[in-house]
Formats: sequence, structure tokens, C-alpha cells
Amino acid sequence: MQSALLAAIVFLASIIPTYLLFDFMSGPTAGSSFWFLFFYAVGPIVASAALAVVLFTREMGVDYTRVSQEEPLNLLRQSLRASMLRVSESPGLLEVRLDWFAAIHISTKVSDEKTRLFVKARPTASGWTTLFFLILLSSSTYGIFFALANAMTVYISARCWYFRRRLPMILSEKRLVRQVPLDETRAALIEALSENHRLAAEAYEARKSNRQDVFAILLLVGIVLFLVLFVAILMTIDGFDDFAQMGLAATLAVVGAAALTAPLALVALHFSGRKVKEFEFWARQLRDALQRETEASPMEDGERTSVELLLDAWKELPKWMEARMKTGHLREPGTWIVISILLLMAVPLILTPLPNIGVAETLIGGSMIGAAFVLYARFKKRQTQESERILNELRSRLDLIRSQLEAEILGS
Amino acid sequence: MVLKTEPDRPDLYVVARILERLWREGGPMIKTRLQVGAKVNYDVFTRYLVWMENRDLVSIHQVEDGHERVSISPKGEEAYRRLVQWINEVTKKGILR
Repeated sequence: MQSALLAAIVFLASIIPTYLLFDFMSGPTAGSSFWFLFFYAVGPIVASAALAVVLFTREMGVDYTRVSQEEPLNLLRQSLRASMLRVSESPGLLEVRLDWFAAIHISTKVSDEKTRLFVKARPTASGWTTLFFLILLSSSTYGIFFALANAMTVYISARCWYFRRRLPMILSEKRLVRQVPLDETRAALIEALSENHRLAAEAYEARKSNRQDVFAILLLVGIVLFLVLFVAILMTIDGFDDFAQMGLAATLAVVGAAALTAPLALVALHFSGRKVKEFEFWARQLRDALQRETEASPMEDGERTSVELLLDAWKELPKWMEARMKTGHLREPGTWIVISILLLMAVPLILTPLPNIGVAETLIGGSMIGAAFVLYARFKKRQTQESERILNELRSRLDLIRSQLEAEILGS
Repeated sequence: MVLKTEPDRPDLYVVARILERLWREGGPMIKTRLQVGAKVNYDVFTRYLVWMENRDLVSIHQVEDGHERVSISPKGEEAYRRLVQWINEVTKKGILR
């Protein structure tokens, strides 16, 4: 019912802008042009969002005949981790990362004879962020973002559908016996290495994404600087009517903007690059160790043992947590939606003011940008406070666990 | 002359490293090879072996070829299993969620 309703919204939201577009092209009336503008701006966003809701809330079932008394999600988790997939677990639910954008949620309903697995397509954190911006930009004149947003939604759903078809094979007894070692100790090693690898890899991806954000901001700063310099130079040499002088002004503006932003970019590259490499190193080491355990391969003499690696990984956990928390845009999606809407509405108001109400538009646009900034500053403050609280708690818990572990094993 | 005394405060890393090497080997291991794997000097390594032997975590055998061999005892295997499971539980129970 819910899916049918949403499908109807998708259909209507796609048809109305198209109809109004034809109406507008053939000579709009005053009334229809308003509706055209309204639907042309909002319709594609609603359509893209509705398609995402339909495909991401759709649950697909898989029949599974139980081969042991063990909880199927436990078996599945072990098997998927032994297949080197990144799996995170919350009560009654597994989330499997399929690629950079696509993930799958798996839950179960158990009856006496049969167990049914249910899967849902889900974007990863990077997938959500990308999709969110593509959907917001869906009202673009050329429709490229509308197409990209929907293509991405369909892709994530298709990845899930394809993976669902593989689940019975992954869960079959034969595959479990072959893939998951029966040795309890090795199984625990695989679980711990897999979980730590997931955390390290997520921290690495978060840090990499932060670096890309910094470069995007610097690029934006560079473009603004170029525009300001270009106009300032043209005004100084009074060369608005001369192509040769405009070329000269453009060259000088490019050089000036590059000279101001390039050092900042180099500093950012130096500091963020070191962290990115450090996290990448940890993710790779844990992945190699995980592979060694899943294949039960022998160890080289100089290699670090898996337990040693895990004990060292504990020291890194606060750093990984911090990196993951710093990319927590999706922790408050409401705040980000409001910020994005405020900015999207403010920019056209300021850049294209109408003759009679230009000042009022600029003031309203400025207030919107101010409000967006206040919301962002508050979000950042809350995020920092929460990070500090969680990290302090984590550090003290790790110290406690470490001393308990030493007392238990070493008797000291 | 090597004094075969126990370490004052054993390091969990070294104990875990020796136990894991022996657990992986699945049988007796030549002492010098184990020392390379343990990544500590001979004196320190010997102290750890004494400490672990006194607690029945490992057993040392003198073999006819002149090489001493070390193997993990059932108690050592159990200690290693507990260590791994503890680490796994801590990670799984989500100190990190």
C-alpha cells in the first residue's frame, strides 16, 4: 500500500512538470507559468526522492532452510566476513557494504520450520551524501542531476537484488563448512579482525572524504578570488570594452588566485595526506591479516601476529572513531536539509535581484545565509561535544579492559 | 651465563606473540625459530619461556638432534583462545558503536 502510494507520487511528480513544460513552451498564461515554475523546480526533487523511498523501503524475502540450530544471522555474519565483506551488526540486523555507494540490510523472521531472510537496499554513508545532493540539484535546467540521482537509486537497488540472489548459496551448508573455519579460536580471530578492519577502512574513507571536501572548498575560494581579482583589475585598467585587456586581466587573475590558494592547498595536502596514509596502512594491515586467517595461510617470521595487531589496533581506535565522527553529516539529516534549502534559496535571491525589490531580496538572501551559518555552527558545536564525550569514555574503557585482560592472562 | 629467571612483569604482547606462534605451528617448534618469531633477545625470551613453563602454558622438550623444542600445552591453548575471544567480545559488544 505504502509502495503503491509512493509510486503514484513518482508518476504524478514526473508527469506534471512535463505537461507544464509543454504548456510553457506553447505560450504560458500568467497562472500556468507560476505552476510551471513551481513544479519545474520541485517536481523532479519530489520524483527523485519518492523513487528513492520506494526502492529503499522495499523488502525482498529469501527462503532459507535451517542447517543448524545457530541463529542464521550469526552464520551469515561469519560467512560474509570470511568472504572478506565488511559487515556491521546491530540487534537483529546486518548491514553489508557492497561497494562505495551500495549496502544491503539483512534481517530474519524465524518460524519452527523455516527461516525467512529479508533484505533491503541501502546506500552507504557516502551513497547517502551523494544521493542527497543529486536529489537537491534535480531541479537543474538540463535534468542531468535528475537522471544521475535516479540512475544511482536504481543502481543501488539492482546491486541489492543481485546480492540477494547469492544469499542462499552463501548460506548453504556446503559453503559454510568450506568457508568458515570450525576452529573456535580462528573464527573469533576472523570476527575481531573483520570488525577492526571495517572501522579502520571507514576511518580511512572518512578522512579521504574530508580531504576532498577541503580541496572542493579551496577550489571554490579560488574561483571567487579569480572573479574578484578579474573585476578589480578590469576596473583599474578600465578595460571592459577591450578583449586584449580582458585577456590580460583574466591571466593576472588566474595567477593571483593560484598564488593565494596553492600554498593553502599544499599545506592541506601535507597534513591530511599523512593521516590518510596512516589510516590506509592500518586498513591494509588488518585486511591482510584477515585474509591470512580466512585462508589459514602460514605466517612469515617477521610478520606481526594477529593478536598483536588487534592489541595495537585498540590504541588506534580513538583516532578512527574521531575520523568517523567528523564526517557525521547524516547524524542530523534534518539540519542538513534545512541548511541546503536555505542556501539554495538564498543564492539566486542575491545573484539575480529584481529591479524593484532588489534590496529586500539581498537582505532576505543574506539573512538566509546567516541562518544557515548559525545552524551549521550549532551543529558543529554539538558534534564536537559529542565526539569528546564518546572518545573520553572510549579511552577509559579501553584502559580498564586492558588491565582486566592483563590480570586474567598474566595473573598480574 | 644466562640467568633463567622469570620476567618481573610479563608483557602481554610477548606472551600473546609466543602463544600465537605455537598455536599456529600446531606442534613442537624449534626454540631458536620461536625466538625469532617472538622478536625479543635470547635472554628475555628464555625468561618468558621459564615463566610460561612454570604456569603450564608451554612445555619444553629436549630432542635427540640437540635442538630444544617448545610446544603449546592445552592450558596455553585455552589461554590463547580466551585472549582472542575477549578481544572479539570487546570489539563485538561495541565499545565503538
